[in-house]
Amino acid sequence: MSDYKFSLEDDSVAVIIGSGAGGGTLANQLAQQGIDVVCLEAGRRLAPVDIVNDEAAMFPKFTWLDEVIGEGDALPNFPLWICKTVGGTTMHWTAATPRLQAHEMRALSTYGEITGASLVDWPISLADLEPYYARAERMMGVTGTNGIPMLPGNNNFKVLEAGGRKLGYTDIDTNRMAINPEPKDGRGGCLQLGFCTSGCATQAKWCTLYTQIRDAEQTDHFELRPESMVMKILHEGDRVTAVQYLDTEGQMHEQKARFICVAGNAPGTARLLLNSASTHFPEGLANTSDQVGRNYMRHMLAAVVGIMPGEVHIYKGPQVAGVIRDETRHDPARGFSGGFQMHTVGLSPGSLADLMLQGKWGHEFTSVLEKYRNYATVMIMGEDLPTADNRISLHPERRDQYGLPVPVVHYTNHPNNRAMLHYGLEQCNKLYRSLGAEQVFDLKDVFPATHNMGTARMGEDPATSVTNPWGQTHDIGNLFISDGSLFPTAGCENPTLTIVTLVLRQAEYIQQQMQRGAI
Amino acid sequence: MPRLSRRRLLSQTARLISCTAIMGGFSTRAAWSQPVVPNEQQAMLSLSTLVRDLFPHDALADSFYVKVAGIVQPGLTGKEKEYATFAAALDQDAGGSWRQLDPAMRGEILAEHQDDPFFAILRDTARATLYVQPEVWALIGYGGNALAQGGYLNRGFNDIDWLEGNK
Repeated sequence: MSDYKFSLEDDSVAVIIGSGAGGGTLANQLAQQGIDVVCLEAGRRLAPVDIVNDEAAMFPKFTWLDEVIGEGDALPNFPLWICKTVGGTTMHWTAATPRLQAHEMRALSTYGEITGASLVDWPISLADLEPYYARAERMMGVTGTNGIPMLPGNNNFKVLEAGGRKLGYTDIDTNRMAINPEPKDGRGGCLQLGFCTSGCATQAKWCTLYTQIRDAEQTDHFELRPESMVMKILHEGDRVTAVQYLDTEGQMHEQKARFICVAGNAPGTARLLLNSASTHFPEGLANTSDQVGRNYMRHMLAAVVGIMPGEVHIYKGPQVAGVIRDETRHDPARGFSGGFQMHTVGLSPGSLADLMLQGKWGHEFTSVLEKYRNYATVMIMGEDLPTADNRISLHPERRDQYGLPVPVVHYTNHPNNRAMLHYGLEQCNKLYRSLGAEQVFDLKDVFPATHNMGTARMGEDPATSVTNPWGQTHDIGNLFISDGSLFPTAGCENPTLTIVTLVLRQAEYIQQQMQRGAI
Repeated sequence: MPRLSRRRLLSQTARLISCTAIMGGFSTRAAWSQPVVPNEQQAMLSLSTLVRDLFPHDALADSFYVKVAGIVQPGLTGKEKEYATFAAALDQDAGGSWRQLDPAMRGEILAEHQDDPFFAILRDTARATLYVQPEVWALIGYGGNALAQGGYLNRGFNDIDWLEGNK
C-alpha cells in the first residue's frame, strides 16, 4: 500500500476505471493539465516483448476471458471479444478511424420512428464534434489527415477496389487508419505484418499502452494500477466518494476520489453501475432513468469470402486497410435504414476454418481450405439500431471468480439488420463474382461483438438518458461515463475515434467544472 | 485470485464459434509438453486415422497426423469413456477393426455417426489443433509470422498480378 504514489485516502484525485481508448486517453488529458489521476485497470500490463506475431499466443494474453453469458442472437459463450489488459481493447482493435456522418447523429430525424427501435438524435451535432475529431486524428496519427499519407494497398484491398469499381462504387481507398505508415514518436512504421488484432509488434498501430499512458507517465500526476478489478463505486447522497477494487492477491482496497470516470467498455461500464446499486439507487448507480444497460448496440457484422482466379494472400498487411464507403449512406430504397461499410478483413486459416466451415468435415472442408491462397475477404459492418431490450444485465445467481454477478448480454437482431445483411451479402457476392470468383461463401452470425456501444446513452432529458451531452451522469455530478456507452445511436463507423473524440471534449468540460468548483 | 480453470477454458473452446482456432491453439499449446504414454500408442493410431478422415489433406504424411493426434489427445481428457464408446461403435459397424478398412468405407461409417455428441467434440478439437500447425500453413499457403523478415512490406503484400485487364 505504501508503494502507491497517491494515498488511498486522497480524495483530491480523479479515479478513472479502464485504460483503453476512453480511459487511457482521458487519464492522459487530465494528467497533462496537472490533475492527479489514479487509473484502475482490471488487466495486466504487457511489456513490448510480450507482443508476438502469433494470434494463438496473444489471445489468452489480453482477451477478457471472465465469464460472460450471451442470450438471444449473441454468441452464448463468447458474446464479446474485448480485452483485459493495460491499453484495453486498443490492443486488439484494427485501428480503422472513420468519423461518424452528420445524418447518423440525427438518426431519429433522418430515419423517422422505426418499430421496435429506440432511435434518438444525439444531443450534439457533428459540427460540435468536428474540432475534437480533428484533435483526435492529429493525436492518433490518422492516415489521410494532417499530412499523413495513406497506407499502401495490399492485395486484398486491390481485389476489393477492382470489384468495387466494376459494381460502380467510387468512394474507395485504404481507409483512415491510426497506423503509422512511417516510424514516428518512438514507434515503428507499418511492416504489413497482418496481425493487427493480436497486438502490434512494431507499435505502428495506435494503442493507449504506448501512447497516452506512456505520456501520462511522463507527468507527475498519474498512477496506473493494473490488475485492479473494480467491484463497486461508493456514493454519499448525490456524490460518488470512492471505489472498491480487488488486487491480484484478492485483497480489497478502497480509493477515495474527487470524481470518477468509468470507461470499462460498454458492457463493463453498465455492469459496474448495476453492481453499485445502493438503497439510494436500488436499480443501479445513476440509473433513475432505468436506461443503464439498455440500448446495447454492436454492429451488423458479416464477412464474405471469394475464391478468386488468382492468388491473393489475405494475411499480408493490415487487416482492414481498405474500404468502400458508397453504401454508408442512408437510402431507404435499399429496404433498410442506415448504411454499412465494406472493408477488407484478413483472416488466418485457423479463424477461417472455424468461421466458414463450422460443423463440416471431410474433403468438402479440406478442398475449400486448400484454396486459401486465392481467398479474398470482405467484411460488411453496418449501423445497428438501438432497442430497449437489447441490454446488459446481471445474472441472478452466477458469480465469477471475483464473486461478482456474471454479466448477461441480451441481443436480438432488429429486422432492419437482417434486411441490411442480406443486401450487403448480395453486393459482396456480386463484387467477387465480377472478378471471376469460382466460389463465394458467407460468414454470418459467427462473430462475437467487438464494437460495443450504448448502455449509458447521453441526452438532454434525465428521464430518458443516463448522462448529459458531456458524459456527466444526470444523477451524480461527479460521476462520468467515458467510453462507447455514451453513444445514443451507433452509426456504421468503427467507434474508437469517436470515443477518443468524446473524451477529449469531456476532459475540457471536467476542467471547467473543476475551475467552477462544481466538482 | 482463482484463475480461469482449464476445464472452463476447454468447455468454452469447444463451443466457441469464431475464436475456436485461436483458443484451441492456446489450449493445445500446453499439450505440446505432455509426453505420450507408450501404452496409449494404439489409441493414438486410431485417433490419427480419425483426424485424417475428418480433415484429409492428401499431401500431408501419416506421421504428421500422428503428431497432431498426440496434441489432440490431451484435449480429450475427461472424455475417455465417450471416446471408447464412439470407437467401439465404429468397430461394431465395421464388423471388426474400423481403422483397417479402406478410406471410403471408413468415411461412410463415420458419416453414420456424425450426430454422436462425441463426434462434434472430436471434430472441433481436431480442427482447432490442425489449422494452427505450420505444416498445414505451408500446404495451404499461409505465411504466418513474418516479423523477423521485416513483415510483408518487402515480401509481396501488394504483388497481385492477375487483376490487370480486370479493372
